[in-house]
Amino acid sequence: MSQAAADPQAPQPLPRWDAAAALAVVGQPHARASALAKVTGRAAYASDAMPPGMLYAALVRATIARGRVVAFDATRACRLDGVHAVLGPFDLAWPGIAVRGRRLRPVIDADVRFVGEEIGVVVADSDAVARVAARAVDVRYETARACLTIEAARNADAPAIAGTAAPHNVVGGVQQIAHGDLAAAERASDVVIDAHYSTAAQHHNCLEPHGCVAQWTGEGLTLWDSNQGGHLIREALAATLELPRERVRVVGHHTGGGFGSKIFVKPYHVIAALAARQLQRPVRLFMARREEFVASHQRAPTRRHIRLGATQAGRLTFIDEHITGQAGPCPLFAINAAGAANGLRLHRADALHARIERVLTNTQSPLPFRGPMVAEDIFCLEQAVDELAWALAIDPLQLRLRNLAEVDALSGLPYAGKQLARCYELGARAFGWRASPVRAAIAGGRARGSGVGALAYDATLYEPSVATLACTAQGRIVLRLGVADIGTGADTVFAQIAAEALGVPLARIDTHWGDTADTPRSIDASNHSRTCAVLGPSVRAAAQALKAALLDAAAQALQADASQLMLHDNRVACRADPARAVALAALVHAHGPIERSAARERAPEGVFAAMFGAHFVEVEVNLRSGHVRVLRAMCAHDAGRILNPRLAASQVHGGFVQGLAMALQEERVLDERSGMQLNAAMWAYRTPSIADAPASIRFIDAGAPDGGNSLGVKGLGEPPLIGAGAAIANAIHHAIGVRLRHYPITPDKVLAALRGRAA
Amino acid sequence: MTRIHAPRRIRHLPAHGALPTLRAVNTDTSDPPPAAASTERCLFLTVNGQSAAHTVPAHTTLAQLLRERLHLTGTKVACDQAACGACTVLLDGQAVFACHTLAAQCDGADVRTIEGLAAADGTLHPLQQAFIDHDALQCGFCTPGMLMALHAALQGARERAEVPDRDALAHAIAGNLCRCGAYPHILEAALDVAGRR
Repeated sequence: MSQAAADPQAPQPLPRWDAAAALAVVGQPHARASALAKVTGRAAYASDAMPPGMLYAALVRATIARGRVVAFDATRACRLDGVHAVLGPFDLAWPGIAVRGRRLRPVIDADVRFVGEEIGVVVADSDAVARVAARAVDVRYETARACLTIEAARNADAPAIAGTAAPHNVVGGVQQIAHGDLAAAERASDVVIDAHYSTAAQHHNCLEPHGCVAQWTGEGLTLWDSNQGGHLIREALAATLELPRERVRVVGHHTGGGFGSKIFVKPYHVIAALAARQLQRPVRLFMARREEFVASHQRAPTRRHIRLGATQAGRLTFIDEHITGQAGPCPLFAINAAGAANGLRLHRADALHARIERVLTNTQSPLPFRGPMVAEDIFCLEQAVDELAWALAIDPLQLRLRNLAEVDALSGLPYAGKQLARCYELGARAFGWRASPVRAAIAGGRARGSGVGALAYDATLYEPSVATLACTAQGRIVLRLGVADIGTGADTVFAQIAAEALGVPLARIDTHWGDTADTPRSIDASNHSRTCAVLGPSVRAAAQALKAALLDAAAQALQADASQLMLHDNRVACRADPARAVALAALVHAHGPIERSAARERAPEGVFAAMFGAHFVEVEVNLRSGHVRVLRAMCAHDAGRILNPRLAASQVHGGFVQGLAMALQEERVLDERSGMQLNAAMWAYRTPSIADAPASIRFIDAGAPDGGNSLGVKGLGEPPLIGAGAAIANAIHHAIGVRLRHYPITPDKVLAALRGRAA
Repeated sequence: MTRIHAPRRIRHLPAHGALPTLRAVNTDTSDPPPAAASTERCLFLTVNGQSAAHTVPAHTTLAQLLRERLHLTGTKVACDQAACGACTVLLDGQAVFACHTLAAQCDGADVRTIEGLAAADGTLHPLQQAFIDHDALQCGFCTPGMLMALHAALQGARERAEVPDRDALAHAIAGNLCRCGAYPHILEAALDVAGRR
């Protein structure tokens, strides 16, 4: 899965589309392909599926943080009208989800490891009855001591949460990243910053809840599922249920938000499938909003002790981080709790060190959330870099420009493309960046300030990826992709690539996606800002192969040499005499279906592919209320070649708004005695509304075609979130002269900090 | 932009007494709501110009009636807590949260959903076209609610012979959450239709 690994089976890349390539369709602001379906209400989401005879399921969830279910009494629940089944931990041999040849714990069992864990399911005639019945199940527990915080789990007398020998519940040992001589670099430092930071748990809170509708027929299982990629769900579910892959079909044409939370098979998939099989009826199992918070995962809270040093001239000498992430109860998901590599590759320094500890707790497992592990890291590290700049009395932008990394220090490889300097330059120019002292703009009880923050994000996940293109009997081109439409524009940009490679108008291409029954396996899931980079080259190669096949077929029909032919909209014509032509439809009639597939091109070797960016932000702090408003944001990104500038701008807007919310307002609030979440409601968890968004967010394309693949593309899904936080926090410091190191920077923290400064 | 408060879109009933209370939201109490014990209600409804009588359990929400009985699944239910606006429809011309409007409250009412926003011949409403042109959507789950809320606001402004400005349009959708954060393009599209661009 890593780009450093040899990739000998994959085909050689096609000739590169470099900066000078004359492209007609790629790079144009074409309208989103699914937009018409979405504005008319016709777009089909998994939660819209209602097969005849469908029943409604609701999960029974644990109300204690750690212990065992000793009795699961469904008597009261079963008495309710319309209840079909109540299944608890002792009623079925629930299987564990199969992951890479291993089995996780059963999807329902008597062990409770966090508040909200699945302990049973009710199936009923309606959603209302199912939910009422789920609450009417009488559960008796044997409670055990739970560890709800990192501190509690690390205590010398804390219980072993995963039941394995992990000293102080630090799972997998302490991870070390070490590059360069730290002691020597410290000695060479004139100034050292030493500060503690933290980030909070952030919920994905997708508008379309997690869930699926499961139906068994003679062919097997059909699952309408809200996910980020159906093929991975299908494979994991087939393995879990011990079915041949062909007997599982996963359908999800549009997904109402994922952000990393809908990549993997989760217990509800398996529970819905088994309940539907048990009852011989289709079963719908979607989460209520409360369950989206308490049991649909989140970004892990982290603590970070950051030290960094520089010479008086502003040369970065070292970065040394000690990071602790809250890892939840399951060692397998603990990896998502914390990381540091992308922060460390952002700037050049003599020594780069990090110690990462992932601490098991009785809280739900962390799962990837847009820029997973990286946003937490760079939100904090880029504030520390800003602290260093102010300590040195150097303009924060200047300090960053003086420490541009030429090679990736951690791998020792040159970058496949790096336009970070251009991000700084274009972003600063568009923003009107100029150095000014802190607290320079205070008037009428409000203080304004500006901040900058940079970001890096590795582009290092690859897997087998196939795209298929076919010409139909109607003369249309059908592009088949095994992806989901999560709103990123995958429905649009791949057709642009195909149209470009074929030389036909975009309107001639129909893209099919979202159903494993009629698509090839194109990607595990749309995550890690890589769908374009992984799948794009396959689409182009398949288009070139289809074009060659069409020209060959036409050469026979027209009695001409294929090299003298061209594809022109709905026909193939002779270059010399365009009137001599044959319609695509006629070719298919004569030859039968013409279809070509292509696999992903070979991953780059000897280079390190990564995305970069720099955000410039102006904020206004209300000195009486402590409320922070972001007034405007200039987001300069190096995302390689931009396939569609309009959709790219949408990604940047959305990423920035989500990052803004992570920086200023979103946090999970847990009762630290019971483990109950206190803000598990849409109105209590501060999801950003239009009132929170800045008046202006601008995307500045500071990139250039990248060397990482033949299309020159990188990603833009996650970087806009990653770059938002530190730029905002640094602007707050610039406005009020106080550092706020603990995200989210809510008004109470701002007021307390202002009072502390005044005192 | 001035500070915006979400418009209130839960329709309150004249005191009937006989109707059950709204379903409890996010209370983790052990008392089940009286959903299972509810009785049937008969109501007459005009939806997107089509009138019909419906008999539903009294606890049925307008959103459930639209989605599960009439298969008008363009109306989305995202939070079911009257807090995100995804289920916004027009009830006698007013934007309401369909997830917290009981169907029984709507007897004799005229309901318009996203499926009824375009003209009968399929011609898109200017807001729909502007949403496409400005890419004012990403995953699309909030889009029907956004469109209905904006439509109500623009209609209301027209009746008052006003041209809504940026703040007024933002206010109109301050109760509609877009988790993808498409707000800048949504506002551009709305300003375009309002004639402010």
